[in-house]
Amino acid sequence: MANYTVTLAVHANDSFGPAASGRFDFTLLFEDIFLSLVPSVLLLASSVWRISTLYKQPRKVKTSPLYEGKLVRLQLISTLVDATFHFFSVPD
Amino acid sequence: MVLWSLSPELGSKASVLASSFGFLAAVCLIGLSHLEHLRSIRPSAIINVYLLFTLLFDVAKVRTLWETPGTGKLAAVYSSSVGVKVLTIITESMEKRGILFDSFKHPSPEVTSGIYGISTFSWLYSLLQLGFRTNLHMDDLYPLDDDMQTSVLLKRSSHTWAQADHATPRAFLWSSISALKWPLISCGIPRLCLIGFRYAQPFLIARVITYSQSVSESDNIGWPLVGAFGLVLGGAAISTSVYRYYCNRFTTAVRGSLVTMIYVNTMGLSTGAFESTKALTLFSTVSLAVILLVVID
Repeated sequence: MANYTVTLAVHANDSFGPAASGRFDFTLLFEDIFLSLVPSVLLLASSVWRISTLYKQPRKVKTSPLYEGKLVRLQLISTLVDATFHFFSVPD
Repeated sequence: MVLWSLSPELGSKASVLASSFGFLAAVCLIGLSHLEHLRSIRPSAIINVYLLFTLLFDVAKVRTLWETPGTGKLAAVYSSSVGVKVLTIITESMEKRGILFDSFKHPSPEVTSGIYGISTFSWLYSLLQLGFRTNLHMDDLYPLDDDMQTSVLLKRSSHTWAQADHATPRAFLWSSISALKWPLISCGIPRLCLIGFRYAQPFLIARVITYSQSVSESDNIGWPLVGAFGLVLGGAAISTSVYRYYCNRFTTAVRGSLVTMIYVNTMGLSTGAFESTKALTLFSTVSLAVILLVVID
């Protein structure tokens, strides 16, 4: 039974789907492309445009702890994403 | 990446690419958030939309990872990133009215509200509360957004009209559309989302009917269906309200620019021309409002 689920998972990981065979879910490949890759690319493209418009504007906000809070949490996210990257690079 | 091929059971073909782009996006978010925080008066739309959508997507992905055998550690890292993302969404969506420099304090809360404020109309609540207690006066209403001021609209639309080729058919229509293309595009995006959510409903209902008719299907299918229903119905509700909001802004902008252009033109007409322009005087704000309402509905 265990052997069967493992082969099922390996088979399901690389097929495009979008529906995974044998269970009620998307395949991992579909999720990697449409739920991770596409939003990241869209964000990168739109932030280039947004940064270039914001760069010309003056500063409008006083110093506040909200600023540090935002940056610390975003740094945590990038660390965690980096960790997932290492997961794929190193054998489990 | 060579090493990754040793453990292909962990991810799909695109996993490495997806997580390296995810890392780039996260680094980019830090820079963007820094600039958005200091140089914008409202919470960032791009960051909040990205975080909200990727949060939903991450939840779907975490579920897949927990159900795929052998990816326990990876699923744990993903789950914790979902937790951090929730906290980030809270800080990123906070409004900055209190910490703006005085010269940038706009009197209308509409201007400083982010995507959550716009989609739930929370900037209107204080006005509604005031209306419950007392009679509203003109001074109680919020002033117009700077983009919706008649002077701004007139400048923009008369500029495009001056540049347009007046000989082409329907030249005024096209020049009006191009002067107001951003308000029009911002109507279209939530409408497209609404179409998507409405298309999803019949498929969802068909799936629920098959689920309820079969005894053998487990609860593992039922709960995601409940979640999918929440997503589709909630998404339809929010995209309807955002669509209506931007549509109203668009029609107000159309009205603002058309009525001013007509008045500016009638002021410049010679007295001899009045016989042929009788119809123009009938073109008032009220009749335009009726026409636009008919167009929307």
